[in-house]
Amino acid sequence: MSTTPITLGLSLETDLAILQVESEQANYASDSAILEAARAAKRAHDREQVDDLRDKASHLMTSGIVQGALLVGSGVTQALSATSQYAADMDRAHTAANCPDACKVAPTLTEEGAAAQRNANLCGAAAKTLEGGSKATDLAFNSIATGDDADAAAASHEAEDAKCRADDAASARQRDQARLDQNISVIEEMLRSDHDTMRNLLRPA
Amino acid sequence: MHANICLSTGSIAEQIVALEQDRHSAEVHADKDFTEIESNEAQRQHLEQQRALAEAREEAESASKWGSVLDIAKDVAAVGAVAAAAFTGGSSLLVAAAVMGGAGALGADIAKRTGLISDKTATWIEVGSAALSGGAGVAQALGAGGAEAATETAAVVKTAGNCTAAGATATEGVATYGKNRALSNEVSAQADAAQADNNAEAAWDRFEEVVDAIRQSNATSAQISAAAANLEAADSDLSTRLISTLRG
Repeated sequence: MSTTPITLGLSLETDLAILQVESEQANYASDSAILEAARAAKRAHDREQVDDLRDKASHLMTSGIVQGALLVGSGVTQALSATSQYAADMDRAHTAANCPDACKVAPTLTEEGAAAQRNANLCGAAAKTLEGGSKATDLAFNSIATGDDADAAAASHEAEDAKCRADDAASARQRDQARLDQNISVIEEMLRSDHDTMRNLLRPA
Repeated sequence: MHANICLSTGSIAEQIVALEQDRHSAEVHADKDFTEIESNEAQRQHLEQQRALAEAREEAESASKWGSVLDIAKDVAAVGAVAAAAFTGGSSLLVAAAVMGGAGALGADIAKRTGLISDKTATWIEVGSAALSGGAGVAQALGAGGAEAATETAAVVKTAGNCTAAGATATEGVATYGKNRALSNEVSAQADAAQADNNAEAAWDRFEEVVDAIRQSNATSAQISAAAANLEAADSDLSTRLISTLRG
């Protein structure tokens, strides 16, 4: 009665266990693929985050150069304006000191004084324009840097998500491995049992 | 007959076990080398990360110092502008605008540093103040009021104020560049640290993969050895039985 399963080699339970092993192997391979994909995604997001930080560094440096140049230019033109204005004011003061009382109320400028005044006004306007440009640059680059920060934060968030997925896949893979080992142990035990049964049956009466 | 028994599963199993042990030994040896390489790489990247973070801290301190210089320069520029504006003469409206512009910028900066207002509010006040100063300057440039200082004393005080403001503005430019360069270096060092951290993590991932491969190789080797041992035992049993049968 019991010769059929023995002549077939392995018992049905052993066949089932082998199928389970194959299933666990497939699960293990699947979880390994998920783990690898999640790790690749994390690496990509990490690279993205680093790139965003480098962009921000680059923008900060550019902003520093542009703003610094504009402000230094503004300072230089302010100084030019101040010296020209001083020449014009001194000219006006001398005119006032040397003219009749009616002239002291609204002193006129000599030709040189008028030229100095025009120069002072032009340089003053240029200085204000450069200073305004510096402030505009500051606001513009602050906005860009904020965007870089937001991009880096988003990439960091995505990388964290990918890390969670990788951790989950690694845990699942460990569970697959543990079940695989258990099933293989069961199969070994069944094979031993089959072997014992066969030996007992073959033993001479 | 005896030769056949010797060449049967028992001896083949022994040979398989020997081959498997050789293969396993070579594989584990190679994998151990890999684990050492990856472990060293992870440590190296960790050190690189520490170095980059230290550099980022240094640059942050530098940026903070430049920031202080920048704040002082802004205040000096504002004081100079206010002093000069008070002696500008001409239209009282333009004088008031110039004074309010300078005073607004100065007040906003001090209020920001003492924590009375937020950075954003201070920025908007500074922008408004700059508009007032700029408007007054442009109006003067267009000849709307004439920048008149009728006495020598007024001219000297105004020029001193303007020159102070000009020097402070130029200093502000240098400080702005210095601060932004330090900030840029800080962010760059942070990026280096992040890159090193990612590299270390990748090295640990590879390390784990190799350890996992060693574990699997050990398990497979143990299974093959167990199967071979079973096979040998069965073969030995069969041989004994055959010999005893032949002997009758």
